[in-house]
Amino acid sequence: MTIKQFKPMMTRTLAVFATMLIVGGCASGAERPGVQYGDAKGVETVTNEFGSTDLQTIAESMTRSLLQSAVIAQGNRPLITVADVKNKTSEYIDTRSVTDSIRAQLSKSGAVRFAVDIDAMQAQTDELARQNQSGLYKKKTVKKLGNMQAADYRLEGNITSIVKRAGNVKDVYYKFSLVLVGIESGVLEWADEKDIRKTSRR
Amino acid sequence: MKRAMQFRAPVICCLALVFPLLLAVPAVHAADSSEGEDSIDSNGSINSKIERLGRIKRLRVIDLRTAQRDGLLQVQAILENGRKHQDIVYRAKWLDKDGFSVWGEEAWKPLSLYARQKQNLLFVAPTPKATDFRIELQGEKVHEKAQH
Repeated sequence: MTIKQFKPMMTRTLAVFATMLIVGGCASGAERPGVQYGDAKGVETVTNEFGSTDLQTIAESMTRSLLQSAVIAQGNRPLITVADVKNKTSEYIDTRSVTDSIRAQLSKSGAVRFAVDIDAMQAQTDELARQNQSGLYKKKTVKKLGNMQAADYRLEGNITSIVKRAGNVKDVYYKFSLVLVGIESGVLEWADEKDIRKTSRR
Repeated sequence: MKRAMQFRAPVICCLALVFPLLLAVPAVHAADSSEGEDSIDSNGSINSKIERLGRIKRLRVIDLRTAQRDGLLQVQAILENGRKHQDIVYRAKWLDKDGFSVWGEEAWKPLSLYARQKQNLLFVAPTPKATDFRIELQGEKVHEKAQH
């Protein structure tokens, strides 16, 4: 093979090699259409607004702290009702979703029982009224009025945020506070808070 | 002589392109193999409780202790970061004495570690049924760049 024959062949080989690299790179970098399932427990950093990771982290932190509180650690399975968690931030946050997660985890642990809260009271009284007033049910099976158990403690709290912007930087600080109050005594039996800081650059 | 040089020039160019690639492949594996050993562990007990997922650079678990308080298993792990700031995520898995999971998957929790920082992580079992645990650590996977 002469040099004159070799040079064009080498040039073609290099060109093919470069094209393959470019095409391969484009193929792997291209976004695939369609739907993908993700990890529901994965860290979500799409925006710095309140997100699933914040909700899950707060619920978990509060649950574990509550399980160590003196009231619950005694082991007599106190009866708790969930009151409001006030959203004092400037963004929309479904605080009910946070307390629902806390309630689900505490219930699952078996350490506490929950009384019907204000939101579910209408459904509870409607059902009792239907059983007692409709005449549709066997008397033996009808649940009597006046036997509902009253809660020993009330769980309530609030979430606040501090938002700062400077240039292309946005910093958000969330603080979630939760307290457990003895209903008869009015004594605050337990309190804890969880804070989260998120910073993003445009 | 001049012709020979012309002939060798493309070959040298190709070698110059391919050689760094050949060097890079073993370098990556070497970095992986040297990362994240719990060096103070003498009997392997720490390593058996820690599950490392993905790439975590120069992070050691230097102490791991457990206690039973108020009927719940508590675990304290002390992490020691290397010379560079890094973001990781972590979580615990709770098991019974037979190794069965007694709780659903916990959320991954983000943790920012400064250079040479020693960070205590405290885990509390969610249920008295948990008698054993595993701690999962992984380099933070950022799905998309955060935006305002």
